[in-house]
Amino acid sequence: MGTDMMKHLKSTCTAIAMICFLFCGTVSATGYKTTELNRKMTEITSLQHSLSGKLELAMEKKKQLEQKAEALKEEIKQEKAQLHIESYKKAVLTPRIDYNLKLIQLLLGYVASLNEKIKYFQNGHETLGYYFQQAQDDLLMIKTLNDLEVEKLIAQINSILDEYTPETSKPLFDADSVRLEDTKRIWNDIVN
Amino acid sequence: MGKESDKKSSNPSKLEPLEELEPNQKELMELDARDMIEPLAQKSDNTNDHQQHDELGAPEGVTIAEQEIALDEVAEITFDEVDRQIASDPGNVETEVLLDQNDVQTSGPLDLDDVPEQESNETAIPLEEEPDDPQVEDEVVSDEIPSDEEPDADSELSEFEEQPAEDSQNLPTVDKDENDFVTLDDVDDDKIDDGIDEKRAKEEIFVTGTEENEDVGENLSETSKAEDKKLADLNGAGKEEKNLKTTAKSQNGKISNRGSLSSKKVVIAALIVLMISGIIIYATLSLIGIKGKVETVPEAKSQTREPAEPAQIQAQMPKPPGKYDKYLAKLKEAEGLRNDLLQKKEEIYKLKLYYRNGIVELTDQISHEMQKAPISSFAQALKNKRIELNLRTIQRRQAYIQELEKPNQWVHNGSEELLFLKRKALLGLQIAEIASGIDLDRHMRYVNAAIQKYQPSAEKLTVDNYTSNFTPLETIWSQIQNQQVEKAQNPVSHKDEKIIAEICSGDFKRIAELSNMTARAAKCLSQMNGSDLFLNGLKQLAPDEAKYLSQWPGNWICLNSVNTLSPSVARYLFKWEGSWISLNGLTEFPPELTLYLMEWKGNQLELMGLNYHKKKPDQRALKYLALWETMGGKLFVSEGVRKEMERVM
Repeated sequence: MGTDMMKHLKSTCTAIAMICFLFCGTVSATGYKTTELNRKMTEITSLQHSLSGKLELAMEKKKQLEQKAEALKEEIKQEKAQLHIESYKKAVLTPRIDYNLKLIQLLLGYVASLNEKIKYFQNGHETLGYYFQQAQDDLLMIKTLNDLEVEKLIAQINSILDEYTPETSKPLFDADSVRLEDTKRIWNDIVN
Repeated sequence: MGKESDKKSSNPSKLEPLEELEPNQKELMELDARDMIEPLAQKSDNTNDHQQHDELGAPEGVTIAEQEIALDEVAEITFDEVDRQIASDPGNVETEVLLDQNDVQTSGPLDLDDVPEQESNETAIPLEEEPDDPQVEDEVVSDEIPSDEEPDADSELSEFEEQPAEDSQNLPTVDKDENDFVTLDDVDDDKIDDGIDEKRAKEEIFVTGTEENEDVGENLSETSKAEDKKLADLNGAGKEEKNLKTTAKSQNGKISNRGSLSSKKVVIAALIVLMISGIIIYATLSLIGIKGKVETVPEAKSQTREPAEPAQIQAQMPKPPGKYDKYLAKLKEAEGLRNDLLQKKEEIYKLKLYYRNGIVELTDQISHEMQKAPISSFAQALKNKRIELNLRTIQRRQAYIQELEKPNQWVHNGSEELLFLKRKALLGLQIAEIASGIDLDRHMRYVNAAIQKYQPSAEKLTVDNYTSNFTPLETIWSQIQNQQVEKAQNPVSHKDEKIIAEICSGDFKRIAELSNMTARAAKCLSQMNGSDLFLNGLKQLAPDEAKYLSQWPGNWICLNSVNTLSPSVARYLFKWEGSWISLNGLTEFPPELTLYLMEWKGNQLELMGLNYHKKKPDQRALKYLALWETMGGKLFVSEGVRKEMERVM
């Protein structure tokens, strides 16, 4: 009698343990997904913050460079009026105009590079926002349905994180590879 | 343990301590009579002498087991025999009486209390731990512990006992006692007290007829077990008698060990006090921040922040070297050099201005000479020494002006290049943090090269062989002659001739209608009385006319229709000693004029017609005008010019 009870007890305990194991496994998987999504959302937020800082910096620098270029253009106009310079050939013989044209050439090149970078960062920021929103939605789904396929989303998030995270520590552009406009074209823009 | 017992049993002086302690036992008896609990401690105190004795002479090895063996022999004597001994030998019986009294007064359990305390330490800690282990307690209470189980029972103390046992193999008996001391050191008074309490609890079991006392005795040593067996074999003695005898044995052991135990207690107490005080000191030091806990560190830092404020202020004064400081220093050096070059450029400009004005003056002198004597040809002019020298001076000054253009251009190029390099380097510095490929060192190399190149040395500024640029004197003469002809082509109108005639006759009513001035008219006007001279119809003024006008002793001259002013005219005009000149017809005020303006003693100048042309800015003239104002002059200009002057300054 005692042996039967022991057997029965053992089988019952085993069944309960199996159920608990399966339940815990499911819960654990769901918990893992939730945790992973939350972690990714945190990473997205962090990267967005970094990108915002970079964007702000790039825009601030761009504004400064544009102001400098405008000041140099104004100086060229004054020199042109004072020295009655009409042609580009005569203009480049005047040191101030020639130097200013070269500086404007650099500045415009930098501004163009910054514009490209700003656009790139803005795209990244928006894409990250999109994935953040999707992660939020998926989290709610997991909370409601206890499960959802999130591996693809996580892979996409990882991809964009891998793409943009290194950019936050890189320089905004390479000054050596900046495309320079022709000074004559710049002169013509100023004169006309 | 067996070896130790054997050694103890073989000790011939095993009874000596017991005999020596008898007088103290008497005192203990009295004390026990007063208090049943105190004697335990008091005995320990009173046995200090014995401890000293043991240490000096008596072997301490004669302790518990040896005394127990000695007592075994005594234990074989029954109570009847004890009575007899009391009658025959009061001295020996005194001890027994004391023991009996103790037994009676404490009814046995007191002896058990003394067992773990005074006998070997091997039993002290197990007894202490008995309440924690019910099994052990049960075994102790119900079953006799076999003799071969004793080492197991002592195994918990192996770390305390192993070392003494090892030492005892090689050392004499005295060393064994030292081992005992070491073991005793591990016993706290508190533990002993706890053991007492536990034994009191067992006392009840003992009183009800259990053989608990025997069990405890077996825990002590094989010798004590043998003694118990012998006691059990005794027919005439009950179990209480056995207990009494066991107590007597332990009492004797107590007496012999009391001295060493008390000293050990003192040492233990001292160690405990030291440990506690050490912990307190450690905690106190931690609290006061000398030796820190992790939590106290930030507090200490936060506490030191306020007094550290002066240090922060001091630290702000010497600025830490920045990342770009060396570049900025180099750019500052370049800026300094550029300022020097600009200053040199200004000096060159002033010099050229001086030469130009001098040429104008010389030309006027030549014209004046030509008017004095009819000179129509260059040959005639050269015969006039003054005209010739003036012509040569003009020639040289013109060459100077021409030669000055070379250093002026060099200085200008240097200043412009330095400005460009500085701007470019600053641009590099500005984007160095956000862009790669910025070679600031390369910028600095260029700046360095420019600094070396444009140092304004005499060698670079020198004017060499200016005579090669001399304009022929004949050409200069021709230029002057042409000017005279142009001037002669502007004849004075009939109306002006009439007005001039009126002026020279002393009638100054129509001077405002005068459109052309002559030297004669100016000379006449200089004789006019009055404070104001309104010549607002006058469109031109020649230097000689200005020279006469400057002699007028009035206060205000109005020349508001004059639209141009030559430096030579300005030279005379600003020698006038009046205070107010109105030149509102002037749209420009060339910088050359400002040199004379600075020498004027008057204080009001009207230039309301002056315009600031953005397309033709003349910053230098505005700067001089502003400078004249700062010297005390009052300038009347339009609002736009005023703003521009403020901007320039």
